[in-house]
Amino acid sequence: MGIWFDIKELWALSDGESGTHLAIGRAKSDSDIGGKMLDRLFAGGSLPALEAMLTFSSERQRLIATNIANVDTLGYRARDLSESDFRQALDQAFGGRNLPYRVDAREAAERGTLKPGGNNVDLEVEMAKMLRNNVLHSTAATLLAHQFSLLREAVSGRVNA
Amino acid sequence: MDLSSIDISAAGMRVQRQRMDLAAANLANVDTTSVREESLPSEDGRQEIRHIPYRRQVAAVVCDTNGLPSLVVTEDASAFREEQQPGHPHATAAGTVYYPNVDPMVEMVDLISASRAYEANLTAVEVAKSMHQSALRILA
Repeated sequence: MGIWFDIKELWALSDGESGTHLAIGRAKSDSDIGGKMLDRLFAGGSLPALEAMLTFSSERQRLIATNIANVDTLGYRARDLSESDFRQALDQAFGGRNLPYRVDAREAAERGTLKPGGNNVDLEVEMAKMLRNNVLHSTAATLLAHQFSLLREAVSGRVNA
Repeated sequence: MDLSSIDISAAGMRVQRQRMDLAAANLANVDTTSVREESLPSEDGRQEIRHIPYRRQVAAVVCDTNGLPSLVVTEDASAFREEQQPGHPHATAAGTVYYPNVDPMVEMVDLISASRAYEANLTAVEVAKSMHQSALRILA
């Protein structure tokens, strides 16, 4: 029951606004024993932090894609997620605190030169950011896959080849 | 409304392709001297049938409420090129032929910048795809 509730909550969180909720601390302290066991499995160790990295990088990819799509749009200002906000969220995740943390989209920190038409999207900066973000995402995904395979080994009781 | 990054990049690619279409249309019509006829006062004050040349189309990219780019097409109001060619079938009584206000150099620059921006959006799609794939590999 605990898990289903959390998934519903995640759906609600991912809906709508421009910012993103990092789903750290999704496992709420549940009174039943099954919930507690799952909490220890899924809310401990590096899983919440990796999950936050995945959410952050996919949301950031969306913003970078918006910036690139609007490279010629009149009056458009580049937007980005704040890395320092994300660092705080990661600190909380590593500290094991269960707080849903919010990272808001705002105007990009590195301000590109203003082009005619009031647009400040710097294509090179966006491409570089996109590649760095991609590496972050694949790192998190690889580590997460590894964590799950470790869990699977522990549950099944034998080492996978 | 929540759009995936691939949808956003697709909107960007559509806008850039429309820009390329527009530049191509302008280039193709660089010498079109008559798209319609109008009755206008001539140099000596009498009404005469004048051939109106192709007018350059200008693309402006604007942002809608979802953050998606879209194209607004307007006409370039600058003056037509004038040349003295009395034998031309579209010449005025005074022998002036009006040519479109299209500058091939400007159109080529627009074409290149649109095609580069298109490629950038395409790269964004590929990156998004690889991110989706690596997320799927978590399950494997």
